[in-house]
Amino acid sequence: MSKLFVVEGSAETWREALKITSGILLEQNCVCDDFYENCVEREINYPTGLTEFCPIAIPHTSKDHVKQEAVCALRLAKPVKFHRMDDNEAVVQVKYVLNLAFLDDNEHLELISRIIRCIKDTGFVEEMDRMSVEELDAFLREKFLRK
Amino acid sequence: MRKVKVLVACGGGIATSTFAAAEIEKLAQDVQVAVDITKHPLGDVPAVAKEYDICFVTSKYSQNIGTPIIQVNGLITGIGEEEVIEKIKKSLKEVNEQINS
Repeated sequence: MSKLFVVEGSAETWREALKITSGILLEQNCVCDDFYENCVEREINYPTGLTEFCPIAIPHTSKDHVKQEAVCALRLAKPVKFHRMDDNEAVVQVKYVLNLAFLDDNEHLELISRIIRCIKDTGFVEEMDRMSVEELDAFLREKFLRK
Repeated sequence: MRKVKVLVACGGGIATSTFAAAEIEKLAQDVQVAVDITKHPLGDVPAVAKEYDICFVTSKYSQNIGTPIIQVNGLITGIGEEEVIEKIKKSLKEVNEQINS
């Protein structure tokens, strides 16, 4: 069963944002000590910022650094720049970071499919913007995890 | 008649490529092209590309690898998704005709 953690926080850079999410995943024993460094490295080579219409980034790394499947969602007080997945020379101001800790292929297909379905929904971010963090927790739990 | 060998690659061969591979599999069924899909991290693409008929990537990729390469980021972001879907179907049909004619 996948775990979900929803938090709010402030960061000046994408690295700081990742430090927050990976710190929680580490605290919750979902990832290994080197998860953060590996996410950073991956983000430099293969950035995960989406588009201006969808101010979300989905940083992740390989399963070697993961203990348990989990997602940590961070709502940022102020957007931070991530480079874009479709064009690593371009940047996008990201409001929500979904740090993914995935173990393997087919088991996480359903979870990643659910997340991507939400990302593609043009009202998704606006809807999240209106919620308190408690509401956001319940909302994402329903969207990502409910069977 | 042999299956079209498809390579799907994203940064880590983990998250978005799993999703993209599932979508491409469905699209191949829609256009009745038999495919054999393999996922790889993007970094492996230059080394393994020659073993495939066509390659789909979820990130920007500008290197020439000698195998047709199509960027399918729209499957993830939803932006230009219809065009990307049409492009995938068309390219799968074309490659299928080429290798099986």
